[in-house]
Amino acid sequence: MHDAPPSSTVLARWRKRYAGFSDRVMCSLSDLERQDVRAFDHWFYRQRGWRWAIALCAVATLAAVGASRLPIDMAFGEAALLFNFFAFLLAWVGLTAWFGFRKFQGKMLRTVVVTIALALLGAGVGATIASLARGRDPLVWFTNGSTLRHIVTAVLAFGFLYTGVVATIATLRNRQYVARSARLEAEARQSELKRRLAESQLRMMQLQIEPHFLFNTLGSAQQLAEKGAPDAARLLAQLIRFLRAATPALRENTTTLGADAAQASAYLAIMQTRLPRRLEYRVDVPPALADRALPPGMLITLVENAIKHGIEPTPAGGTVTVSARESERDGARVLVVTVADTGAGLGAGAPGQGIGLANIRERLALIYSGRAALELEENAPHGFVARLALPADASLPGAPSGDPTTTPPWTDPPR
Amino acid sequence: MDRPTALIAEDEPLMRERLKEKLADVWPELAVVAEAADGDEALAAFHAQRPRVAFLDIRMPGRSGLDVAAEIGGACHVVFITAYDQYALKAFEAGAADYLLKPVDGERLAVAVERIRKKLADPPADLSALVAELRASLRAPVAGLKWIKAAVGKQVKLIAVDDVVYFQADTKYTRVVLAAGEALIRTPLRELVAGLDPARFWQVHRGTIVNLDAVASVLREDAERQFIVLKARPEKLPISRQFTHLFKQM
Repeated sequence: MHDAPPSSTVLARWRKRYAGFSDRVMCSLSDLERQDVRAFDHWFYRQRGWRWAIALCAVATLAAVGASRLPIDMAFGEAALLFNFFAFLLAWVGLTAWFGFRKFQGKMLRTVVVTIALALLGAGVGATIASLARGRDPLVWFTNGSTLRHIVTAVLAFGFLYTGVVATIATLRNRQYVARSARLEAEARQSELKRRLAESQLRMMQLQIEPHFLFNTLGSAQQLAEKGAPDAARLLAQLIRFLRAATPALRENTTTLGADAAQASAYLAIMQTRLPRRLEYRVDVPPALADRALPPGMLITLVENAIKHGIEPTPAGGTVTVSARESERDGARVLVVTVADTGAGLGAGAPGQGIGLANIRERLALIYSGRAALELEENAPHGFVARLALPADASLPGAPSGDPTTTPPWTDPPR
Repeated sequence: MDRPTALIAEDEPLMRERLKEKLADVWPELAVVAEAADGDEALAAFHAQRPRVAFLDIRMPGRSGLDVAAEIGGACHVVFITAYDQYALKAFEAGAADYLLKPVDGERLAVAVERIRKKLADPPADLSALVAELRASLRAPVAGLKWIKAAVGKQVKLIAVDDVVYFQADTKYTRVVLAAGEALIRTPLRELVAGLDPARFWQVHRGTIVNLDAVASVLREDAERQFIVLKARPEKLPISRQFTHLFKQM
């Protein structure tokens, strides 16, 4: 079928085989290990790390020269081969431990036992062959106590040297690996959380001030002013209060419940001026809870929703109630902030969109990692209730007392 | 000649009052014969008074200005009022419809009034195409289903779609299964599919849609039978054969 491949393709085939082997090995490694191997590769080939291999060879050969002078039964050639073999074996062992450290983890004892057993076996076989080659009876030779002692001593020395090197390197490297991967993972998680929080904060800002609201409010103020009604100044004052609360809050990571409730009051007062007889409202936040930390924009989003989807679509209007309580839930203290309306309820609105609500949920999950909730349900007999349940013990990270650079808003609140 | 008559429909009294006063300035002979605070009132007032011109706020409780325009557009000249609806403005320009921006400003109103006066003698333009276009553009863009209205006991709750572990078709209803608890909705699975993000919610069975975020692993009993193991729930979900390809190894 095929002609015999020329020798260059034989070489190519072996290279391909080697490439396949190294690919498999690389695939079995973790990212960090792969990085290490690549770095070593770079050092060895590009930065001439191979010169160290030559140096090692030279040292072993020199040692062999010395050994051949000693009065032992060994020629220079034998000694050079043996020493080089051992030197490179040790280097190989070191590298194996350095890069394959995870293989040894938790298997140290087994490695020691297997190594020494194999070494003993090898020594026995080698000694038998050697004694046969010199024409001695291996059994007689072995029963000579000193030979056996020498062999066992040599094997133990080698075994402990080998396993000692492996154990030390593997343990150190493993510790380093665990620390490094934990750090990398934590960094990745942090930057991911930070990015997502920043994104959702940004989306919230885009949702914040509706042109509709601004134009209609300013139009109402203009109309009142032209009539000379004293209400004009009051309406503008409320608008200013609302805008002031809306603007800087976006640059902070937290506001207080008190500040947000004041903003909600200003907003509701404005809407009441614009929708007289259709809107009643009540803001009930106990002074004791006023300085509780709150992620910015959440309360006002809920209040705006109550107006937009609850009150505005119903000709008769309704009542919006903002309240805050601290209570016990599943054994934990929670701060519950409720915005309830008696407006259109779920029937008229079109949930499914709920961008503002989805944004609140997303940010709650990022900031409180599962310990806070946004609950939405129908109000009886009609209307809608939105409830924020936040862990009461969480001094929200990034609160005015904390340094925002050292306590990022995404760190878990203390448990 | 008779004095021209008008209807003003606007839900905010101050804005209504403002328009009325400004109209009195720039179009003194116009008689505002009816005022309405919502769409239903506007319609009733129109039928009672038959005004020649109707000023309709687009956003009103009950019937919107567009709904009202769709009904009376052929019988009188409609002027839309809006504070800020960028899509609507484009549509008005393109459809050559009359519109006013809130808060109403005297000079701009004078220009608009001039146009309307010229048209008064002609029969009113047909607005149905414009209204249809506006309705479509004003509807919030469908960004996929984010919340599900579900009955839990006697209450209706909003359940975030992200929290759903899986949906399962039940004889008459669809079960919405969460990590803790479940709810029933009437929307059939077929209709739900359209609103769900196909990258996150996979149909794995004729009667099951699963949230991939909630999947722990896929258990392969044999080549034919595979099950989904969930993170937060003990039950295993069968994958029917036509969907097993979804879980082939990469």
